[in-house]
Amino acid sequence: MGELLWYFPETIKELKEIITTSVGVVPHSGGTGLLKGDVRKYKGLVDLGRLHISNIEEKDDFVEIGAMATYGDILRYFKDKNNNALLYKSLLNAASFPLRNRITIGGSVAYFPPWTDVMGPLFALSAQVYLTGEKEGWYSILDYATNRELHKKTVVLKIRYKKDVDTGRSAHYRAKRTQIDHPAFTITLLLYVRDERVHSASFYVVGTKDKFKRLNVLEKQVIGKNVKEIDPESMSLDEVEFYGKVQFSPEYQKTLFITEVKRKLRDILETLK
Amino acid sequence: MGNREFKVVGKSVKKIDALSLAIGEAKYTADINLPNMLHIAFLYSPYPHAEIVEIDTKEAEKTPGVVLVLTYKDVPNTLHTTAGQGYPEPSPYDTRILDKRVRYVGDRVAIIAAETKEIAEEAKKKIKVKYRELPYNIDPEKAKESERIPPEGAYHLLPTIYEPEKNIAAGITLSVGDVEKGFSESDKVFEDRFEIHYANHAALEPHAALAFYDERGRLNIVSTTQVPFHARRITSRVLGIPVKDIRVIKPRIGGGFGGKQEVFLEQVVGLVTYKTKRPSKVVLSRKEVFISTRTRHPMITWYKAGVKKDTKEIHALRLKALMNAGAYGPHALTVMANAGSKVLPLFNKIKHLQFEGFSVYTNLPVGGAYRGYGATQGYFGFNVMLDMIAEELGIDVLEFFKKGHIKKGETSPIFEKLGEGKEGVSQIIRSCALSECIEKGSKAIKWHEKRRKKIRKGDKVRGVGAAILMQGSGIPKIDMGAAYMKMNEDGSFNLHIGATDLGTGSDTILAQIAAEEIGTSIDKIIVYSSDTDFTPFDVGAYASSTTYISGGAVLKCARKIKEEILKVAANMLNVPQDALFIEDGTVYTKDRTQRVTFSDIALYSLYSKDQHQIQSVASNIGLESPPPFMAQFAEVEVDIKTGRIDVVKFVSAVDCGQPINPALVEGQVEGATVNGIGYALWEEYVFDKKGRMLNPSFWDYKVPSIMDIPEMEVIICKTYEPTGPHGAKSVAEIGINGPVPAISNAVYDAIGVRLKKSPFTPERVLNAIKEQGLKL
Amino acid sequence: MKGIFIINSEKKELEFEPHKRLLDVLRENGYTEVKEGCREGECGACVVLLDGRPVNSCQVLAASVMEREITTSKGIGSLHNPHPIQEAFAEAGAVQCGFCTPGMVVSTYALLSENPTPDDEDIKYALSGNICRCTGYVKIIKAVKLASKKVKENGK
Repeated sequence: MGELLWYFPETIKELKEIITTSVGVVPHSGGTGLLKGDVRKYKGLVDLGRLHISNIEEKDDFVEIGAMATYGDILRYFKDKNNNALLYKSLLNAASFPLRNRITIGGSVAYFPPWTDVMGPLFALSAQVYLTGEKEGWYSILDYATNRELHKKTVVLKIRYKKDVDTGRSAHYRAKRTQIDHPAFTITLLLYVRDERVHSASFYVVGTKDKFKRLNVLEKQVIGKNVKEIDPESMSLDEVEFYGKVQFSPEYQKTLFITEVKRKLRDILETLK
Repeated sequence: MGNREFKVVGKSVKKIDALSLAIGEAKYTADINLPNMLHIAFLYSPYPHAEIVEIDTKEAEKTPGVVLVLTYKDVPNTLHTTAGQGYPEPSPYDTRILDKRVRYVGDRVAIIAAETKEIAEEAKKKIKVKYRELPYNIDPEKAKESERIPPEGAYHLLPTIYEPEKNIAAGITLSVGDVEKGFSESDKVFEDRFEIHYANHAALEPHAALAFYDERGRLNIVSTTQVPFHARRITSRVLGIPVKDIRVIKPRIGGGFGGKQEVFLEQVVGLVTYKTKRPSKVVLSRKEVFISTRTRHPMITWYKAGVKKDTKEIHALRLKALMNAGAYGPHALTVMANAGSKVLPLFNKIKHLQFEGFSVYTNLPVGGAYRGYGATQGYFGFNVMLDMIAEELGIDVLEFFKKGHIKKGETSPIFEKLGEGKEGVSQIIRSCALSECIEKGSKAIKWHEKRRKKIRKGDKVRGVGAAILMQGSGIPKIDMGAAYMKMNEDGSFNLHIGATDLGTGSDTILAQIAAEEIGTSIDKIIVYSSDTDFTPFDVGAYASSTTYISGGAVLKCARKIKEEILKVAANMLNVPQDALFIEDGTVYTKDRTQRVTFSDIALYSLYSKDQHQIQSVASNIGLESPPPFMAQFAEVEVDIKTGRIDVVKFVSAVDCGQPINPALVEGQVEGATVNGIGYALWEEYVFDKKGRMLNPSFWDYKVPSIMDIPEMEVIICKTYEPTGPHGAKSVAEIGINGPVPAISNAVYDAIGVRLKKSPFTPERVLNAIKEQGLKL
Repeated sequence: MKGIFIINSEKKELEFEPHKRLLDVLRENGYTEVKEGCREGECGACVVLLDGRPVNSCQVLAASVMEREITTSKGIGSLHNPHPIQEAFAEAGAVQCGFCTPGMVVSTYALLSENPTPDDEDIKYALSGNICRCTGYVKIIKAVKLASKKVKENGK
């Protein structure tokens, strides 16, 4: 192992140069993901800390969040503004208080650990990520999460989603043992209702065997329905498979998933009645 | 006597080291660095049972910065026990520093010392080991028929059942009356099996030790130890270095809970420093703490109880216990024995009793002392059984408790029959407020409003459950503590004690005991603990002994120095000694016409006439072990669809005699309770088929956070224990014993499902619901 | 590599290896009030303030926080000039073994800076990343409330 090199780009241009030309370097945002392993295995780390990309703002129709915004930054941003925001609800109990001041949204999106609290909401919000490096521009979060090519020699600079998407009714569930625990899986539900009818629905579970899954079967059963007629108990659910985790067998996770997805859906419907 | 007015005792004075700790000034072992110090890493076995066929350390030794690599070939092969107990230890001598055979995943294979910890950790990966895998067993119920685990030649110092060839680490059987006859005379017989699990102490400070030679060539060891004197004795024996050449120092300790009542690092740093003549240090990682230190012993208990319908009493009771000692046997005999000795006397009117306990070796992590020490394991089944019996008899379990429990002036034959590795000591209970604890605790939990109500809100049902407990106060006629005091010219006192404050606050309460007795304020007592060179002997902090045993020594010591003070004062004032009394650091004649301050007395004794040091020393052994008593109550909310249990409220009502420092009493109970709740609900070792722990981290071994605690209430039901210092008994351990049974009983109250296997994870509860069916 | 850190309001130039965590760099340079309990960001014994916000120093690579302000418990108060938070922890019986306490103090300092009169829920939320194995947390909540009162009275 050679000595680990640090790069401290101060402009996006410099960042792009390093990312596209250096071999074996990885971006460093908060570091919490990288530190789960041994950082000495990398040739170099590109610190994004001096790029000033932690801003959160409303821009045109979008909420735009800089990749270096920490969970703590996001929570503070929404706290007084909109504590119904899906990201606010989902990050409120993610990790722990001090860790939230280090985990960045960009790092979570790029690293996408199965226990993340942020990916379900970003999928549900149909978020986009802005990449720089060998690819440049906005990509849908779904593409970015599923296409490894998009990760090669690129860095996530910012994330955005349409403001009006987040005006729906939403819920986030974390399957946890204790209050401060990484979730075995998360469920994110987002419903948009117009004239008492479900106009659109976006349901995700993260932490499954295939990492994540959109709950199409369930979505179909609610879209177009009058909210008063929806009975979560009687609905059939998507087949979701889990891998075993400590104190969570695959079978138990399945039971828990079925129970909690229905509960969260009922909770949302209650607020509409 | 019980109504004595105290001036210092009974007050929640601030812990004397609290501010220094809150700032971060106080030093723990890992905070100490010495010039030229080596750092130590361990290589651990990846197999549950294997023989080292070949071990090649050349590459590791060649690594720049590596100074020493030790394998079983290079270390003394003395068989010993790591249990930091009195001598002769009631634990088998079955352990070597390193051995040719490894017995669990996490057993030590090699010791590497290098200029930095990182180098040592890197170098260990270069050690090439060829193992021959051996048949292994992780099921205690199959231990007797499995491949022998302990080494050839393993032995026990005490005359006790020890059959290493059958993997039996200890065994005890005893009877009172005729249990079989008792069952046949009973109207109804209950029988059930309970299983309680592996857990880690998870003291926030990981184990660490540091060794160096002082300027006279004596080996100094700083260690995170609960037992500095046992550490010195065991290290001396294992390394063959005379006791006189070893000094063990206990700095601040970041929690122990029994996990630091083991001597497994001192001999390693001692050996490395002995071989290299350089200071050396080892600080374990959290993962190492989990896999390679000590654990709560898992235990299977079978309770059988015969009940008479007319008297509504238990007529006969049998407890069979099978304890999993893990790969080595520290505390294998005594923890198992305590499952009987700390539990069975609580219901002392049972005519026919039998206890049969075995500890067996398996290829799993090593059990050791853990707060509760067998009582935790024994009380689970005991309290659930009582709950079942009371239900069957159609009486409130609290009434059943109150009628059955041992009372002041009573005894139990078990006290005499079952002790720590040998027979026990008979005793009469001289203080007991358990009925008051039950009464007050039940009010606090609103027992009568909530019991049997099954209050339901959607999928969530509430219930309340209770457990009653006792522990001990030190090990009678075995544990000894000593204290030394001297007076300074400003009227302050140095108090030197071997008793080890692990964060419990014992330095503070011992100072309170001394200040109270002498008649001065606590700020005049300068406490120093513990250092084998500078403090008198003490067995250390375990078995809930410090307040009672070491406190007793401090009390005696304070009495003696007080006598000495009065003698000097009498000379100074030229009056008879019995004409004097002490108040707030001043000696007065009884008519208050004359007085001398402590400072005057000390100055006089040091500089004026008949110069001498006013000082005293005293030792104390417990002739009895008066039990503290406790009633604990849990209110739970059970999610019947997910199996999740939320503890809503938890009440502990305790009789610990006279509380020396009520805030510290509450702190002990609150801490023990939360540890117990974590143990009941989530904390557990999860193993794969080969006995490899799958969750050796706080990431996956969940310790309760501040968000996880229920509403908590601690009620102190004061008594006066005539044999205790200022009326005190112990309090440290007892609170961890109740949460498992109280929560199990509360869940039954809520949903009619009996939980008999811990921890009560949502998945396990849900499975129990499926098996037994809800009774709502 | 070398870097400047502003530790407890003092500018320090420190030499460290590029893969080192802030926790190690602090402890190796004598800031042993920052404790190592797990090295995985779960226990909170190593919590320090980074530009005023609590972070687990074991989860921070030192190189990434050069030039920034780091505050430890000793930066908040000292033995001869303790901060009311430290006094409150001592007085409320919230210090048993004390290994978690410097981290608790730091988290409390951050909490009270933002919210001078927190209720139980606020306190639990802000200290959720600090594990204590000794106290059962009851006295810790009491200490934070006492600290809030003291800070208000002292105007610190």
